[in-house]
Formats: sequence, structure tokens, C-alpha cells
Amino acid sequence: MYHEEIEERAESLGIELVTFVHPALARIKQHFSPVEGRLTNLVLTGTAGDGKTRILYDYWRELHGPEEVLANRPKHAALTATVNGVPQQLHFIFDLSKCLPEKGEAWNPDGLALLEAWVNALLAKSAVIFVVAANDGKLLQALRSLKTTREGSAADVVEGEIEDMLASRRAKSGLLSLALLDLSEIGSAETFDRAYKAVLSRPEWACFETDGNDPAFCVHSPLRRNWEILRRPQFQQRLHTLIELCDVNGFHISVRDLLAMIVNGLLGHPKAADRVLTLDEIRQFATPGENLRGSIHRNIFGENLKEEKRQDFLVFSYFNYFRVGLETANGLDELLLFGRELPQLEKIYERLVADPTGFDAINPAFEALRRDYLEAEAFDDARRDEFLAELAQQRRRLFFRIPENEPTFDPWQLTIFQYAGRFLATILHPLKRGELPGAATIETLVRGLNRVWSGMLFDEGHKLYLTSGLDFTSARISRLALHAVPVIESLSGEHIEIALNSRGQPELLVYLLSESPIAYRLDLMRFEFLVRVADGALPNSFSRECYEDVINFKSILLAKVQSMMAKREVKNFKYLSSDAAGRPSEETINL
Amino acid sequence: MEHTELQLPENIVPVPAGAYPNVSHWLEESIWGHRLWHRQTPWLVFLEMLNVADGHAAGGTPFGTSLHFEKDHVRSRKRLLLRHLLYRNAELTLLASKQRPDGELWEAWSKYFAQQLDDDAKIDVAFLRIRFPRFRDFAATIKLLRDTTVYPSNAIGETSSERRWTSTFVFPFGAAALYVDLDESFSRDATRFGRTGDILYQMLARSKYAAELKPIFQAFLNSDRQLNKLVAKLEDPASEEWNGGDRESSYLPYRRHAAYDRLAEDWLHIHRLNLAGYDAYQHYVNLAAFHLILYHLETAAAWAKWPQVRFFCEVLAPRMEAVRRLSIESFQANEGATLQALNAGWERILSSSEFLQMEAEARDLPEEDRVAEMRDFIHERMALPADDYLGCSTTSELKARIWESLESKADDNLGLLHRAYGRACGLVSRRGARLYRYAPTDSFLKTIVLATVERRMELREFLQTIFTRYHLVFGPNEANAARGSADFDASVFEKNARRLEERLKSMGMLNRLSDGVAFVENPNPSI
Repeated sequence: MYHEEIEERAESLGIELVTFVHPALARIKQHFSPVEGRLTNLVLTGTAGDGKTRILYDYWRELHGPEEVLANRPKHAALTATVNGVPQQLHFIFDLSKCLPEKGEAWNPDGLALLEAWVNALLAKSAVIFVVAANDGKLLQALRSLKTTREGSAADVVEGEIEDMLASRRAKSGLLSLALLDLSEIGSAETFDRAYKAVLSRPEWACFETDGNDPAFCVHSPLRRNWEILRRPQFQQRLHTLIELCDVNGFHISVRDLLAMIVNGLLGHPKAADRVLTLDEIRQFATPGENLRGSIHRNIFGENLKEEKRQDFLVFSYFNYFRVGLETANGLDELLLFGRELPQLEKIYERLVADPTGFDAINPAFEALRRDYLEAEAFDDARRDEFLAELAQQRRRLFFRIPENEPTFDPWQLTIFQYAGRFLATILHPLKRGELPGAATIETLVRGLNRVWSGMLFDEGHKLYLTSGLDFTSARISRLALHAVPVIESLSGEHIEIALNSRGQPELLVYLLSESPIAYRLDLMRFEFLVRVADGALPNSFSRECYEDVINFKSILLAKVQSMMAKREVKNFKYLSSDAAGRPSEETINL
Repeated sequence: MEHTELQLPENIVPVPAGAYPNVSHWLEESIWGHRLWHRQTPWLVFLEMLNVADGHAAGGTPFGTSLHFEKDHVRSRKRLLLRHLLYRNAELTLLASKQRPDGELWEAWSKYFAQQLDDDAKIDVAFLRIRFPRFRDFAATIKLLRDTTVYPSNAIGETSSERRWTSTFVFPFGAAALYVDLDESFSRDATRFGRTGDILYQMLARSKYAAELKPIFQAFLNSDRQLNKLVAKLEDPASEEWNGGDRESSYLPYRRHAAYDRLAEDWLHIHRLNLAGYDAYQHYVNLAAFHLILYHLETAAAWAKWPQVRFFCEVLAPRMEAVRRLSIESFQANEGATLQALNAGWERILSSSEFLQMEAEARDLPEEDRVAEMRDFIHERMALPADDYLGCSTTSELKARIWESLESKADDNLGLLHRAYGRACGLVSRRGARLYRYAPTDSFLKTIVLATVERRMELREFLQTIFTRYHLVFGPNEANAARGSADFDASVFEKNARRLEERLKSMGMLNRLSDGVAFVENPNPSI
């Protein structure tokens, strides 16, 4: 649903809009801030549902644009406002895609004139300031089609430059008078925190106190149950971390999806007609047996929704990528299955699994299945499947209950990223606090890289060996030692570090031959792979994709090394072998 | 170049009758050349090509100085010592692991190796001891080089037990590492070097870009490269002799062909990326095989008068869908192109004015003489084997039997080429299904991206480019264009394109922006 429609809908229902300050505003403000007298052409791009149009509406109002104009839901509108005490002409394009001709149709003259005026503004040939919301595809398409429709048009320059800005994620341009900001660059975790607060701080939640007699708000109400869980700091914390990790992996979640995920978490139910509860349905399902089917642990992953509907929201496919509850470790399953009875687990079971409040109670169905599994002899396939499915749900529940610093159990073992906890504790969180990750962490990664790159089980984490096969740089066994980069800075400035990039993602930076560093983004998959290899797993046992990806990074470094050494005469030839302690030793053959 | 221009007389390199006395039924040769050999793996094609380049350079016509319209001879080298050191030297590793004084090791090895050297290759190896101060350096050098062997493995129909050491090749680090295929008595053999390497060489030499390609060929044969020097350390002066014998050059029928230019362009694109080490070679090899397929198929299509060539490509789908069906169909149709083209060539002879005139003149002769006349006529154009077809009693029997022979000759070689080269370069596979089809591997996709995308290209444009350039169909727009009408659900090709997007992304070659814009990116843009 578009923002324009939401405003109308809220008004007709007499409900206040859910509002919060978009985290992008701080970044936009650096380039564009009418109240501070800072103006430039602005283009906001991003995924559908990122809030582009909403932000434009806010600017319109900030500039005292007439409300009646907005009421007609214009595609674009001109505005003369006073900025810095002088009148300034502005033009708002609220949604560029709506200003383009339909597929196969020709431009209408108005549309063409609008686009040309915009291109002129970008090239600083006019004094009008354009404020535009567009998605990336339409943006390029518009310029391209303008280019072909009007031969010799300046759209050519603009198109090339904007394409490059998009692809290299650049906000400013040397050629154009423009700030181009992609709202998808904004960390979803921060947006989530704001959206979460905006939803949970609504005064309407008082209904659980004031209308407790209404089944919809009583203790058995599925909504009440889910709300009680959602507002627990532990739950919010884990959800936040999950989204943080999505950001690290490059999975951007739009504002719309975040809100949908929260709402679905509260109101999802597989038996509801639309899979999301109406008030009447809440009343209908407010029983201990029914309310659990719509449990927030399931809803967060979109389990209540039909497949096609679930696919409409990327957030669910991103969350499901972690396979929470489908992965496990023996210790955790033991806790779930035997924790209640085994004396040595009893205490921890009380702390992590049992829930004295009753709002996050263990599903009685699981209890029955568990007992049957442990005792009953007749445990047929159907029952077994049911048991395993319910066990997975209990693992999901547990995933949200184990605190970050829990000594015995690691919640991330319930996901495919077994080392995610380590990633958070040693890399992401220190970096976000402004601290550098410890040398031990870099050394682990370097050890992993050395093993993958050389194909030999070296125990070397102080130096990164740039190795090659005699034939291919990607040879499984690469003995040729072309260069080595120390982790700790050498006299020539070569070293390795980990830092955050502009999107808040950690990167391994290799400072090579006094050039600017070569970056390798450390997403969860790459981290997991390198740490597993460093810990002894074989490089090709994990994932071919990852393997190729890590090898390609080596090729890029080697190409750099080679281009710098091309002029030198080669007098000898160095190759690596493993010494008795498993460390690499360099041997030289003179040519 | 248009289909029809290909067959114009002025585009054909004339070949004297009987120029290649060992070849009979000279029809496929007149269409595709002498010869495309399906059992030659792409690496062997590449190695043979390098040998040809080296031979021509030594003969005074380095790459780029001749269009090879005339038949000539190419010389070659045997490099017997190097090959013995690499491949008849198994105990070296064992000796090197012994904790003995260096002198003792050299002694022991010399004794062992003297027995390994065949009679034809009695060579004094004392010079090695001077070049390698330490025995272990010598042993390590041999081991490291041996690890780079380009096995003629996955040669079609060949198992590892059939490998012979005289057909084993070290990686082509430079001129010092090049030598020809030999049989066990050290005579030149044609099974691994079946002439396709020479065809490849001539294609490049006749391309529009021959001049630009010169530096690539110079780099191939460059003897200053570190690893070429390492190989040269193992060679005696005799290894420089052109003792591998001369071979007549191969025959490539067309002066110009779009496939030559495209191949050359792609090699140049790869060259300009300045990839590290010898990494470019893998792409040269993949592209050589792919462009040979294109050359073969486009030529066949021109002869058979097909309006177009298409490869419907499936990006591995979970189940049988329209994409897979079309992919299988287009593969099977393309495999049939060889016979259709041959048939067209055969019909062309039979409907030529000379043939009709011959038939008319022989009309009144007895059947027996008419058969003989026809046989002579065909022999003059196609070189029939001396004793064949003598038993034919009617002209129609003769024609039928000759066609049978043409067919069976194609069945044994050229009809298998599309499949063999397609699999070898990663375009064709049976992965996840029973039948062969176009289901490109990651390695193939990577080569195509490196060859087509200089730095960055929007996905839609990429799909369009590889369609117009290589006839590869991945996306819905291309599928519609290829089929003329959309008699299938276009969404299956949308899904196919999306799977391609996913694959490219996971290979680090795709940068997706929000909302459906994605750029295909060269992971190794030139620096």
C-alpha cells in the first residue's frame, strides 16, 4: 500500500498514524536540509516500502507546501518556498515511476518536459531544485528512454553518471548537482528499533489492563500472549540481532516489511481467514489450545501465511535463510527433551525453558509428543514427523530465550551459522562500539585464508601468503609464494585490519604494497567458512560457492601484486612447504 | 557476415584435389575444414595451437604474418629429455626424501635415470647437477612442474588407463614447455593433436583482429617468463632441435567467417583484463571450444539454410519445465545440423550443372558405364577410396552407398563434436536430468562474463548481448525473440533469468540494487 493511501485510511478510521523518525533523515540532512538553508537536487531511491514518498511529503510540509495539493495525490508538483529568506522554486516528483509512459507507449509532452527540466537542473542549467523519489530501475529507464526519444539530449551524461553512482553506491557527483541517496543503504536494525518502539509505545495497548474481560484482550488471547513476548527485552534483543545480521549479509529489509513482520508477529494465525486475525477471530481463538498455533515464534517467520503471500515480503525469506530451529546441537536438544527430568539440567531448564508467567508456556502438544517419544513404543512415522516439527518450534522458542551471554548454550547453534555468536562478539559489536577487533580474530581469518589459498593445512596466522599454483592462481594446491602480507603493520605499511564500510558492514582490509586497501566484505557465510577452515575443516567440504569466492579474492590481490612486479626481472622462484610444526617454510630455487 | 556470403566462391580457399592423400570422402572437410576432431579436448586443441604457433614462428611466419591460404608445413619439437624427466622418473621423489649427502643422491638418481631413458633418447644429464646446486631443488622442480600436467583426461571415450606418458603434457608455460604428441616409439601421432588446434590457429590468423592478437601470441611463446625459465633449466641443447617432424598445415575453407572475429574479440577482451599468472588460459581454452562450436554450428546452419541458431539455456531448475524441454529440443536439433549440412553439400554436388551434364552425356551408356562415369565424377571432387563402390550395379545404389559412407563418417566424428565440445567447455550437461541439454556450468558463465562485460553491464543488457552475440537464450525477451511467438508461459523464462541472477550473484559477479535493477560485474576488471 502506498503512503498516500495509508494517510487516508488512517484518517477515515480515526487512528493516529504509526510514526517515527526515519533513520535516513540524518544522512539526507548532510546534503539537503531546507530549514538550515541547505539545498541541492535530491534523489531518493530504495526498495519499495522504504519510505521515499513519505519523506517527500514531510519535506513538502516542512516547506509549508499547501496541504490541498497533497490531498489530490499528485505525481509531481511545483512549489515556491522561502529558503534563507529568499523565494526558491522547487519541484517535487513524488514517484518517478508514475510519471513515465506505460510500457510500449510513447512519452506525452508534459512528461517529457518535466524530465528535461529535471535533467537541466541536475546539470546546474536551471535554478529549480528537484526533489525526487524513484526506484533505481525506473530512474535508469527514464533517463535512457529520454536519451533515445530526444537525440542529443543531455540525458546521456546524466544517465552514465547516475548509473555509476548507483552501482558504486556514491551519494555525490563531480558532474551533477545532485545528492543521490539509496534508502536501502540504511541499516534495517536501526529502523527496526524505531518501528518497534513506535508500535509498542502506543497508548492503545492499555486495552489489556482496561478491557481484560473482553476475550480479545484476556490472558488467553493470542494477541495478548504475543504482545507479552514481543515486549520482553530478551526477545526484542534477539530479533534486533537477527536483523543486524541480515544487514551484514546485504539483506536489506524495508520499513514496510519491518512493520508487516511486527504486525504479523502479533496477529498471525494459520486458522484466521486472511491468516491474520480480526478482532472477532482473536476472541474466537482465545483458548489455550488455539492461541499457540498463532505463536509469535512462528509468525515472525511468516509461517502462518500462504506461500504466495509470504513471498511478497522479503523479510520472511531473509529470516528463513537462517533456518532457525531446523539446525541444532546435541546439548540443546537434550535440554529440550530431558531437561525437565534430569537433575543436572534442572536449574538451567528452569531458567531457559520454563516460563513462570504463563505467557510463553511450552506447547502442551509438545509435552505430550515428548512423553510419547520417550516412553511409547508405538511411535509411527506420522507421529514422528509431528514430533520433529514441534521440536523445531520449541527450538525456535528457545532461540529467542537464550540470552547473549549465556555460558553453556549458544543460541546460534540453532541456526546454520554456528559461529554467528563469535562473529557478533568479536567483530560486529566491537566495531559498532568503535573498537578494533582483536588480533586473534584477524589471525583466525588469516589462517583460514592461508589454508584455502594454499590448499595446505598450514598453521599460520601472522602472515597472509599470496600463493599461486604454477599454472593457475586458483590451483587447489598453490605452492608458489608470490608475496606475504603481515597482520601487524610492517615498515612499508602493509598490514591487515577489519573495519566497517559505509553501509555498516565489516570488511577485511588488506593493505598491499602501499596501495589503498583491498576490501573483502565479511558476511556471515564467509566468516563461517573461514573460521571452520581455520579450525580444521577441509576447504571444499563446506560450500563450493564460498570456496570460489575466497579464491577469487586471492586472484584480485595477486593481479595487483603482479602488475606492480611486472617490470622486475625474476631471478628466483619461491615455493612453500610445510615444516614439522605445520608452519609454512619458504624454499628458493635460483633461475 | 551473412549466411549467404559464407558460401560465395570468393570466400572459399581453394584446395587442390588430393591435397590430403589420407582423406577420403572429402565432403565434410569442404564444409568445415580438415579437421574438427571430436576426441580432442579443448586443452589439447589449445596445446596443439601453441605448437603450431611455435612452429610457424620458427619457420619465419610468426602469427599475424600470413592468412594461411596456401598449404604449407609446420615443424615441431619432441623434447625427449624433458618428458623423461617429468614422466619417466617416478623414483625421484623417493630418492629425494632420503637423508643422504647430495653427491650420493645425484649418483643414485643418475643410475636409476639411465635405465629409464629409452634408447632413442640417450642424453647426458650431467649438466643438471651444475644447474641445480641442491638435489632437493631439482626434485622439487620436477614435482612442481609435474603437478601442472594438462592431462588429456576426460577425452571422450578415454580412461585413465589409456593414458600414455608420451601423450602427457606439461602446462604450456612458454615455448620451452611445448612439444608434440608421440606414440610409444616416439613417432608423431595424430590422436591427441588431431588438427583442430591448427584450425583454431588459422581462425585467429584470418580474423579481423590478427594484428591486435600478436602480443598475445608473443606472450604465449615468451621465454622470459619465470616459469618458462624454470622448465628451460631442465632442458639440454638438443631439445631446441626441430626434431618432431614436419606436418602439412590443416585446411580451413573460409577466408572470412563471423566466428573468427568473435573468437578473436573475446580473446582480446580476456587479454585486456590482465589476469594474474596464467589464469587467462582457462578462459582462452573455454572460449576456443565454445567458438569452435559456434563455427561448426553456424557453418552448418548456413549450408542447411536455417534461419537462425539458438541455444535455449536452462539455469538448473528444480524440475522439468518448459525451459528444460526447449533446451533439450534445441540441443537435439543442433546436434542434427551436421547431417543436414552434409546432406545439403551432397545435394549441391548432385544438382550441379557439371553433374547434370555428366549424367546427360552418359545417358545412353550401359548402366555399368554410367556407374563408372558417376564414380569418377564424384571421386574427382570427394576422393573416394580406390576399392570402394566397385560392386554397385546402379547409379542410384552408388549414390545411396556413398551417402551412407558420408553419414557413417559423420557419425564417427563430426556428429559427436557438438556434444563433446559443449560438455568440455561447460555449455552442455546432463546435470539433474536424463538428456543432454544446454545447462551452463559456473565456469562457463564466468568465462562468458569475463569476455562480454568489461566492467559492468545491466543484467537485461547482458542477456540481450549474449543472445545476439552467442545465440544464448536465458530470459523472457530473448525467448520471445527466438521463438517468434510466445507459445509458452513467459514466466518460466523469467524464473530462469532469476536463477541466473542468483547464480551470478553467488559467484560474486552480480550487484543487485533495490527494486529489480542488477548489474553484471566483471569480478576481475582490468587494472
